[in-house]
Parts: sequence; structure tokens; C-alpha cells
Amino acid sequence: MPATPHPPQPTRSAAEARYRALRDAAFRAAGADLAVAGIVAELRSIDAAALDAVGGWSGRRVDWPWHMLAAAWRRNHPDRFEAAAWRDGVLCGLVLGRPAPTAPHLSLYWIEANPNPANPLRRNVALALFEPARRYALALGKAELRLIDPLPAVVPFYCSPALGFELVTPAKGGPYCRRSI
Amino acid sequence: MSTRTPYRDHSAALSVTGRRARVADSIPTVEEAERRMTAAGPSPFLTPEAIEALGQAEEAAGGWLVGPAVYRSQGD
Repeated sequence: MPATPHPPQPTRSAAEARYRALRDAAFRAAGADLAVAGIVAELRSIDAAALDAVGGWSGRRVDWPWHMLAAAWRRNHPDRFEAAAWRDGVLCGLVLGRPAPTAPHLSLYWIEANPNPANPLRRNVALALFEPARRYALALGKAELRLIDPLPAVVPFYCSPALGFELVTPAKGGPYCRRSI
Repeated sequence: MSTRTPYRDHSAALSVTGRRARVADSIPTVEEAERRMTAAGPSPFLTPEAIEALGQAEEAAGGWLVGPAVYRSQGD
């Protein structure tokens, strides 16, 4: 009995390119929506310029190694969500996340805003990173956004009626906030 | 013989050559993605109330919005 032929299999580089195209589409859509709301942000992947720029941030509350994080996630997660928000040549914020393999949600694991008070997207960095994440999640057919291990001081804002997240504290693992999108 | 790493397009999660990698059941085309994004309707994050709440969250966070404390700076 002849072996059943396998369907064509995309290569690692092909999968990377296809997911990158989806992220770019999410950036375009989110950028347009943000502009309508009066928020001008340039959304890009976390490229070498972003990794250089984050090294110049001062007053950070955390010291996450974005170089290592970005490299590891690129190696292991072609479907990752990554974004760098820029304005006027200033790096304003970074985010890394990924979709669940089968469950209908996208999780955001790392979000950091440039703490400089002169950040040109000040008070709008979170929005400028959440919105493309939402768009990317929708593009992949996901229906829920999760914020993994949110800063406790910020949870009341995420879970406010205005934002509508729900805090989940599972028996195993850290807390997260979730919201349908 | 090809040395390219294959992905099983139908698999939800798989390991390839020792690396953990994930591929969705099928990667949507850009056209399908744009259709899905449009069909979803307005964003819950773009209401004036949500924009204000996110701004307040950002002020309270001091830059650290989401993520573990394992890399927290010493002495912070």
C-alpha cells in the first residue's frame, strides 16, 4: 500500500515571512485607527534601531534584556506578536507576545514604555501597543487578549469598566488579565 | 537533499529539530486577515474612556506595564 502523501509543508522562513506580513497588516490597520483618534504613532517590528534605542532609556523600573528576549522569541515563535512604537524618531514602547496554539487568545508577556517624561507618546504608549496586538489577534482568528503577569499597581486600571479586563488568578501560574476583543 | 526545516501546516504545536516552534492550523493570507480585522468592528480600546484609563495605567506603571519582576533592577 503506497504511503499517503503529505501536504506541502511551509519552511521556517516561509512561516516567518507570512506572519511578518500579518503583523505589518496589523500595524497599518492600527496606525490608521490611532490616527483617527488623534494619536500619531509609527509601528514597526523590534528591529536593530529599537534595540539600540532602548539601551538609551533612563529611569527604567525594570531592566529587561530586550536584545535577548527579541532574539529568543524570533528563534522560537514565528507567530509571535512584536511591536515597537515610535514617534518623531523616539522609541516610545515595546511589546512581545504570542498567540495560543489552539485556544482563542493572544497573550502579551512583555510591555515596557519609555519612562522619559518627554516621551512623545506619553499616556498613549499602552494604547499604541494594545491596538496592533488586538488587530494581530483578530487576524489570526483569536477572540481574546491576555496580559500575562501585569504590574499589580496597574491592574485596577486594566480591570476598570472603561477597559473591561478581568483578573484571573489560576491555581498554577501567575495572574493575568483577559478581555474579549 | 533539502536542509530546510519543515513545518506541518496542520499541526497546532510541534517541535522541529529540537526547537519549540508553533504554527497555527493554517496561516491566514493578508486578505483574510484584513477581512477579519474589518469584520470585528470598532476597538474597545479607542473609546475616550478607555484611552484615558490606559493613560492613567501608564502613569501608574512608570514604564513597566506588563511582565515579570525577575529582571527588576537591583535596589528598585
